[in-house]
Order: sequence, then structure tokens, then C-alpha cells
Amino acid sequence: MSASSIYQPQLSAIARIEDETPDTRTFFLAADAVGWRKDYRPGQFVELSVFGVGEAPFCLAQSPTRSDFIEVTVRRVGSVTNRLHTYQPGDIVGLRGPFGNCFPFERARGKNLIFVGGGIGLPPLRSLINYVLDRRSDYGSVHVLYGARTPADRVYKKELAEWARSDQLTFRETVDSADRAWTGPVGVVTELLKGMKVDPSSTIAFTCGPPIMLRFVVRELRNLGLADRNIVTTLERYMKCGIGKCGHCCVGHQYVCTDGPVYNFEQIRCLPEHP
Amino acid sequence: MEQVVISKAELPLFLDALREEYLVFAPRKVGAGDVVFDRLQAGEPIAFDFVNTLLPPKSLFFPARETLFGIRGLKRPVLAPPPEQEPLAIFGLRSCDATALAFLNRFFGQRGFDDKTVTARVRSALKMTLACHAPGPDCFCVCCEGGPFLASGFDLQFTDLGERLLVDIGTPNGSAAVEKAPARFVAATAEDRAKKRALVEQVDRTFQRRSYIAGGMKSVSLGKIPEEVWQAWAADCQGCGGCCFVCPTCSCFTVTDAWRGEEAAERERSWDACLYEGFTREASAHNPRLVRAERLKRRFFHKMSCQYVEVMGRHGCVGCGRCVTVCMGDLDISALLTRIHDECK
Repeated sequence: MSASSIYQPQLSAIARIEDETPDTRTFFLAADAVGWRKDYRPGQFVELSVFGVGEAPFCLAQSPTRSDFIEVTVRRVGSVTNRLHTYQPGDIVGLRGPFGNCFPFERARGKNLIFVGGGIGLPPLRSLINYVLDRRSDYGSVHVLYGARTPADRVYKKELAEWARSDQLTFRETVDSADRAWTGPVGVVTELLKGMKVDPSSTIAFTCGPPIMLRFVVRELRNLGLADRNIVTTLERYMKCGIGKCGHCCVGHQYVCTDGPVYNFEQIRCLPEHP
Repeated sequence: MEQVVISKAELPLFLDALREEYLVFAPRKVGAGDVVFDRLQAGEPIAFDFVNTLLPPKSLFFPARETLFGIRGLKRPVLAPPPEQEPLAIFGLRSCDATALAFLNRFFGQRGFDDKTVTARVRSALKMTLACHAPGPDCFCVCCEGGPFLASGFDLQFTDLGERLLVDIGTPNGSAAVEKAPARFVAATAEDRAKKRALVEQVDRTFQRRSYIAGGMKSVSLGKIPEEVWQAWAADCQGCGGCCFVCPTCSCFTVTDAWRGEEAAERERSWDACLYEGFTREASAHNPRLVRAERLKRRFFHKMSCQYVEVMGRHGCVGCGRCVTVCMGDLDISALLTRIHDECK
């Protein structure tokens, strides 16, 4: 084995691509050559290579209990993601991982769960939501709250419709600004939290979304009585190696890639700099 | 520790023979008189009269830029790792730099991911240090457990006794190199040992700086340094990243794909610096360390906080003084840490 194999990705062919929104797609990647198909935990991430452009971290968007593929949901933002969006089924990308810690799904057993996602922040939560749905009897009530900018910006539209019909969870969603076809609530996602009846001692909340949303969600969850250690998020940082070497993702002495990316707000509060 | 002696005249014979097993590097005077670690060819003179090389020898183990693997065909790629490198033998490592190498080795090997691109090179290298006789004006290894003499962290430690070199044998590797050598190593005499002891005491007195590192570390760790202080320092910092590049323990890097024609590329790793604005900038343009004061604070925290001591077993400065030498804004980490202790209680 060569010394650089720690940086050399496994090759994986794109099996299928699904459009989520005008700028976001889900890529279904063949897992047979990767060697860890279902051997990862919700909350972990992969380093995905688009050869000739570079490598970037993406959360694993599906529960390991589902799908025969490795799923990543990617918004077209930077150089790697723009090039990836030109790829077709059959094209080959590189994968390294799975990396990072995971959502505390063991500690959450028996608890009531609240998921609050904003926009492209839903994919990491979805891996845990589906994990929980597949082990439904291990958990108490499940609330999923989702906010998107517009109806067109909602990801996993088919799955959202299934969640809305399901009796396994309570799903509610809102958009910042509606179009004519939208019949649901309009407003920010924190509005859906207001007035919720929760038992703070037996509830854990998982949230992911843009920094401004997180700030208000955390405030609202605290208002509902949740302790910071029971409010869990996954941090986004610029990252190169994924294995605690390149130094880009450090927050204080924490390497988000290996110590995180999942943190509760008690841990975040104790960091010497604000993430 | 076993101690032997070799005459300076016989040293080339010893180093030449090492070339059968190793790529041999030693400090050499080049160009306008700068001393650098250079590949040693037979018969070439070695520099003994230098304070420190301009660049640390870390680049031999962790090059400023290197290929991680080659890529042929971008959407239907075939990947090829680079060729294996021969082990290195380095003569003339300063104590601070040897300490830094051990630090890098620990860093690149930890967190459950052994990055052998660095650690395999460090572990396979024959590390021959040259203890310091004449610390420079920017040196403060004596305050950082980085020198000027070492108790461990070398295979062979050479002490210049004039015509002769006293050699401390630190590891079985070092011992094997001495045993195999065609050059004549003889047992050190009581007089040789006494000379070294006298030298250790004498060198200790010649340091021009005494920095109160521990005091400064406390303030850095507890976040006791006011924002105005960081802002004032940031006004002097030019954000050039020079301190990071000359630092023997700095290890941050970036990874890029360099094109080699239409359908081929190389994934390259190159040094990066936490003082650069783009270091933490995300694709969305969000940047958690947007202002220079935040980035400077980051650098001090990484080098000098107790939080990192817990992870790394020691703080991240070996006192080589290079960042002090190169900083065009006169940001002097040893002086600042001392001042922090005095002013930010």
C-alpha cells in the first residue's frame, strides 16, 4: 500500500441523478467498490472527488438502513459542485470516508425527537430521520419541521409528501415566500416551533440549516425548555483532508472533521471561538 | 546513554557510507551564503558555523508542494500513486528542528489516521542532530524544551568539541549506523564528557532572550487577551503567512488538482497558512475568520494554548526564532507571550 493511499479515493460510478431543486441534485453513487456501503452512521460525511477540480466534504444524506447506493445531495455553489452538476450517470467520482462522529442516536433512544431543517440543511437530518423511522419502536414521538425559501427550493419533495401522510411522524413545513400553488404555511421555520408542547427532560432536538436560522432555532428550543446538551447540530467548515491534518476546519482545538461534525450546543458554547 | 567520538576529518567518510542506504542531507552554504539542507554529494563541505537554516528541514518530510497521486482520464479516471521515496539521513539537524520533527510525526500519526506521506519519512529517517553552541539573537529554544541540547528525539546527537565530535547514541538505529561505519568511532573519554558538560552550561548562559512562555500560554488558553490587543497586533501583521512557512511545526495544507493536459491531472498538497483570508472561506462565501485579528488569535491559540498541549503533549513552539526573524511587522511571539503575561492577567 502506498504512503499516499490515505488521500487516494476509491472510485465510484454515478448510478442515478435526481433533480431536487433548480440548483440541487441528489447523486446515487455505486457502493460496491467502496467497501463500506452500509457501514456508516447517520451524521458522518464523505470527501467526494471530482477529478481535475478537487475534493469537498458532503454529508451522507441517506440512512445506512436504506438504499443500495451512497447518496449525497449537492447544491451547485463552488467549483467542485458546479463541475459535479455536469456529470452524467456512468461518470466516475472519488470517495473517501466515511468520516467524522455521528448523531447521538444511541443517547436519543426512548426520547422524543424534534428535527428542524432549513433548506439544504435537511440532507444530514434525513439520514437520521430515516434511521429512526426504520427503528421506530426505539424512539418516542418524532416531529420533523422543515423550512425552505420557496416551494421550488424544497428538497426530497416525494419523501416530504410521504412524511406528511405518515402516521409514524408529525411533519410540518413552511416556506419564506410562497408561489400560487403553495397552500401550506408561509414564514420562517421557527414559527413552527412556537407553542409546541414538549417535555424538555425527554426530548432531543436536531437542527441543521444556515447560521442565521440556527441562531433563532436554538433560541426557540431554549424557550421550550430544552437544555443546550439536548440541542444537536452538525457544523459546516471549509475542509480539505477530512482526517484531522489539513487544519482548515479547526474551531479552537476541535477538528470538526474528526471530533465533529456533530456537536450539541453545550459543547459549542464552550469552544474558544464561535463556529 | 552511550557516547562515542569521531574526528571531524573522518566525518565525511561516515556520511558517504550512509549514502548506500539513505539519501543524505546536510547543511551546506549556498549562493550568497545562506545555509540550507542540501543533498550531500561525495567530498562536499558541510557547514558547521550557522545559527539556523533559513527554512526548517520540515520540507524534506512534508514538502511545500507534492503530488499525492496522478489522475489519467477525468470522468473515467485511473489513479497512480507517486513512487516511494528512499529513506533520508539528515546530518546537522538543530535540536529545535528535531523536536519539531517529533511533533510533526505525532501530529500526522494521530486521530486514528496515520498519514504515512509524512510519518513514514520521519520514522525511516536517520536523524543526526548537531547541538547548538551559539544561539542567535532570535533563539529561545531554551524556554521551549526545544534545545539547545537534547535528551531524546535523535538517533545520533553530535556535539562539536573542536577537532572532535562527541556523539550521543539515542536509538538502536543510531547505534547500527555507528557500528556499520567504516569511519573510526572511539569511546568517549572522561575529558570529552566533561567538555560537553561545560559546553551545556556555557551555552545556556549565552541566550539573549528569556521568554515567559508558560505565563503567556495561560492568557492565550483562557482567552484573557483583550480584543484591542489582537487588533493592534493585527495592524502590524501583513498577513503574508511567512511565519507559518518558516515554522518547523506548522503543518496546515491545502489540496488542489493541477491539470496536466486535457485529460490528466495531479492531486497536489501544498503548504497553506491560517493567516490567509481564504483559509476558512467556504464555497458559500461565508467566512468564520473574516478579520485578520481573528486569524492571528487563531495562530496563537493553535501554537500556544493548553488545549492543544492536551492533544499534542507539548505546545507548538520549539523556540527556533524563525518567525521572529522573518516577520516584517516585528510580531515577535516570544516577546508578545512575555508581555501578555505581564499585561493580561
